[in-house]
Formats: sequence, C-alpha cells, structure tokens
Amino acid sequence: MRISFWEAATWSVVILMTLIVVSFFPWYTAENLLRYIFATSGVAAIFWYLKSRRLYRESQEKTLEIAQKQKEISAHQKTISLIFDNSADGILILDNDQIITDFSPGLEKITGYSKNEAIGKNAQELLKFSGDNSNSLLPDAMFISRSLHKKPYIRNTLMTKQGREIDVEASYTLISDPGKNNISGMAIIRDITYENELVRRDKEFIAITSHQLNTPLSIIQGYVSLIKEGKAGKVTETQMNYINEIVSALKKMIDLTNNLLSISRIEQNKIKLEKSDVNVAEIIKKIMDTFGSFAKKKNIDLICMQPKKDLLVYADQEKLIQALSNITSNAIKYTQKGKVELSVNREAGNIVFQIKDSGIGIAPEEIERIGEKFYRTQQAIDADHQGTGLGVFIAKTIIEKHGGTLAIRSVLNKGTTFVVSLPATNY
Amino acid sequence: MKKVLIVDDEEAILKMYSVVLQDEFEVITAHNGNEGFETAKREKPDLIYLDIIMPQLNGLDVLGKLKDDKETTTIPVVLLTNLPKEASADKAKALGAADYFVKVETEPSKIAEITKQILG
Repeated sequence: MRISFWEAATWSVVILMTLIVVSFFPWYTAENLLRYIFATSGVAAIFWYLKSRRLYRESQEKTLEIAQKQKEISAHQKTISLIFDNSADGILILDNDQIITDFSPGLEKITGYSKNEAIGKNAQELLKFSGDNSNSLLPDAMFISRSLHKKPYIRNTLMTKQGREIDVEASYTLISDPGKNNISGMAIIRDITYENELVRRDKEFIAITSHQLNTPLSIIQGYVSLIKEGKAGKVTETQMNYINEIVSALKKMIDLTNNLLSISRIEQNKIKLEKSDVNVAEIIKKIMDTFGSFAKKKNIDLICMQPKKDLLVYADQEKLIQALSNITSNAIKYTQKGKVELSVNREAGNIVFQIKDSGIGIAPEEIERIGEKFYRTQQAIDADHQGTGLGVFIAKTIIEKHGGTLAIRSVLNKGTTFVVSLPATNY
Repeated sequence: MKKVLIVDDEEAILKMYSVVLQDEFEVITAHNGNEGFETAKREKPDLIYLDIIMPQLNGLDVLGKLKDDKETTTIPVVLLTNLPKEASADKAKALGAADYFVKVETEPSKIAEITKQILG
C-alpha cells in the first residue's frame, strides 16, 4: 500500500507533537494527558480537513476530465462511423465464427447485398470469393495466423448478388477484445475491376501498337534498302546522304517499337530465356561492333579490356546483348567527352560486366530510381529530350531474369559505372 | 526456274520481296491465308514465305494445313512476320517451319540470301 505525502506529513506532525508534549509535560498526570489528547487530535483534525478538501477538489477535476474524455471518445466514434458509412471501400466485420456483425454501405454497393441481408449470415455462405490457387481467400484469410501470413492484403474475385464477377483487393486485421476471448476480423474491400481493366487495356494497347507500327516500319525500311542498293536506279551522293538520314531516324523508331514490345512482354510475364554457355568475348565484340561508329561520331573513345577467350556465361545470348547494348548506348549517349570503357571479369561464381563512362552522372538521390519504367533523370532529359526511360528498365529486367544484379555507381558530372553481375554457369 | 510463293496481306511487302527475288526465281503471291493454301496446292512452289497475322486463316493455321497435306508437306515454309520470335517461333518450329524471321529485322537482300541458301 502506498502512503500519500499528506498522510505521511500528518502522522509525522502527530508524532512530533506527542514528543514535544511528552517532553514538556510528563504524560502520567491526568491534566497533561488531556492536554496531549486535545493537542494531537486538534492537529490531526486540521490535517484531515485539509486532506479531504484536497480529495474533493481532485475528484471534481477527475469528473471533469472523464467528461472531457467521453466527449472526445464520442467525437472519435462519430468520425469512425462517418468513415464506416461514407467510405467507397467496403468494410466487413466478422466475429470469430465468421458471422457478419457489420456491413458498411460501401460494401452494400460493391456486393449488391443490403446490410439487413448480410448481418447474422455466415460470410463464406453469403459472399462467394474465389481466386487462383496461389491466393488465399476471404474470409478465411482474415483469421489465418499473422506469422504465417506476412502481408494482410490479398486479391480475390467476388461474385456479386447479381451474379457478376468483380476483382477485389482486401486488407484486413484482427480485432481482439482485451480480457475476453473474442476475436473479430475486419476487412476493407475495394473493387478493382476497373483498374484491372485499365491495366489490361494499357498492355493490349502497347502490344497492338508496337506490332501495327512494325508493319509500316518494315515496309519503309525494306524500300529504303532497295533504293540504297540501287534497285531503283543509280543513287547520287546527295541522295545517299539523305537516305542515310532516313535510315538512322528509322532505326530509332524501330528501337522504340522493339522496346515497347519488350515492355509489353515483360509486363505479361512472357519473357522466356533460352540459355546456353555463351562466349563472353563474342558478346563484347558484338557490342563494340554495334556502338563503334556511334562513339566515333560523338568523338568518344569506346575502349574494351579484352576478356579471356574461354570465359563463358550461362545466358540467353540475344537478351544479354540487348541488356548490355541498352546500357552501353546510354553510356555513349550521356557522355559529351572522354571515354566509355567496357570490361568483364570472373569474380567468384559470377561474370561481372562493367560499363564505365565519363558522362553527366546521376545525382545520389536518383540512383535508386534508375531502372524504373519510364524514369529519366533531369540531367538525362536536359542532355537528350528523345529518350524514353525504357532502356535500363528492360536491361534490369533481363538481368534479374537471369538471376543476376545491376548495380550503379555514379558521381554527378564525373561519370557512371553500371555493374552487371550474372551467374557464370548453371550450377 | 524455281518457284517461290510469298503469302502476305500487305501488297507493299509482296512487291518489296518480289523485287529482290524475281531475277532468279519465279515469284507468285497470295494475299491471305486461304488463298495462300490454295495457291500452294495448285502451284506446288519450291519455297513458301508465310506471314502470320492475316485475314481469313492465320499463318500458323496455314502452316499446319500445309504440313498435314500430302501434296504440300515437303515444301519448306519460312515464317516472315512482325510477331516477335518469342511469341510464335517455338510454335512455328513445332508445326514444321523451316525458319522464322521478323520482317523489321530482315531487309529484302537478306531474304534473297536465305532463298538462295535454301534452294541452292
């Protein structure tokens, strides 16, 4: 038991008074005994009075405080019920037998069932959730132990009252009542049918457009090459210069549609790797051949450290060349003077390609965003308006598909090094 | 003179590849899948270039029919399309295609080379 300050003070004074009285007046005479009793009870009475006054004041303060708290709680409850009633996302509350105990207006709109129809029903019987095998389903998912279920967030398909299948996304949590054994579950359910449809249309649009673009592009390219080869008569030097301009613009368009096609395949998860043991020196040679003239045109030295002739990497040759080409092409594009160096080494079980430039560099805060789809740094936009922000994204995806990594080191205005690390063999 | 059939719904494509082949080969053309199959049966070409996305019958279906038909099963068929290799090359090979090329990566002169290689 704790003794309050006031109690301790009271009893100390009483004991002190007793000692004083006893030391001045011997207690064994009847008169002194009476004096002693009066004195001590007087002091005690004063202190008790003071104490009870303080207690009264304190209890009044507490009452006010409780009233204030109650006001706050009811305001908070009002806010919660406003959220519950007005949220476009549906809110579902179940007891631990999965019986519906609350059903928000948002959920009425999503599912087509009214609150009256829903309350008291078993959630599993009323709401038909489905999904592919890898997905856990509502409402069971809500009660699966947290440790097993890292992310309390799933996507399911839900059959509405009208028999329409909609895509839903749900986040959920368990609500435990302290002191009782009751555990209820709450799920916030969002209709994502429209979002999914937009994503699907977006993917389809890219796939169709890039294919449709390729047809006219292949016709332009074909006829230009016929003219170039003299199939339409002798070509003058000026004509040839003009044709070369067409060819180089055409190449840009073809690269762009190819990038868009790659993106659409990446997004539809249709990228397939045909891996084999590929000679690293050959890959480097192909890259040097492709970009030699581009670097020369920009007056940049494209240097390569010759790798060992028997160095092999287990990879899809075509795709690896595409990834390294995208990085090398950027290195040259974003370097105004100086050099671009290619090197490759075996480090432990990995083949490590490095593409180092002396170009515009990347600000530290932007490094981690490099490789996001369509992301371009401000420096890159200033240096070249025509980029798409797809090259590194595609390269990164290809590298990661191989089980490899892409790391970037950069100093603004000094240069950037892209480090591509791939497992050397298939074991 | 050996006979090459090109099947494509784009007139410009037919003309473009004909230009590089017509000096050394007899070039015949068809504008859709059905016409392509009928022409192949009738003309018995030595080599067929086949597009994939075409009206009526798509190139892969034409390929299947050509390989199922006794009269045309031995004719080498090369797919020449703008669908990326990843999308259909495996399927085409499984159906018996001799090769697969993406148009935008294959200039007409390359087609001339390929034809010479196959027909000797």
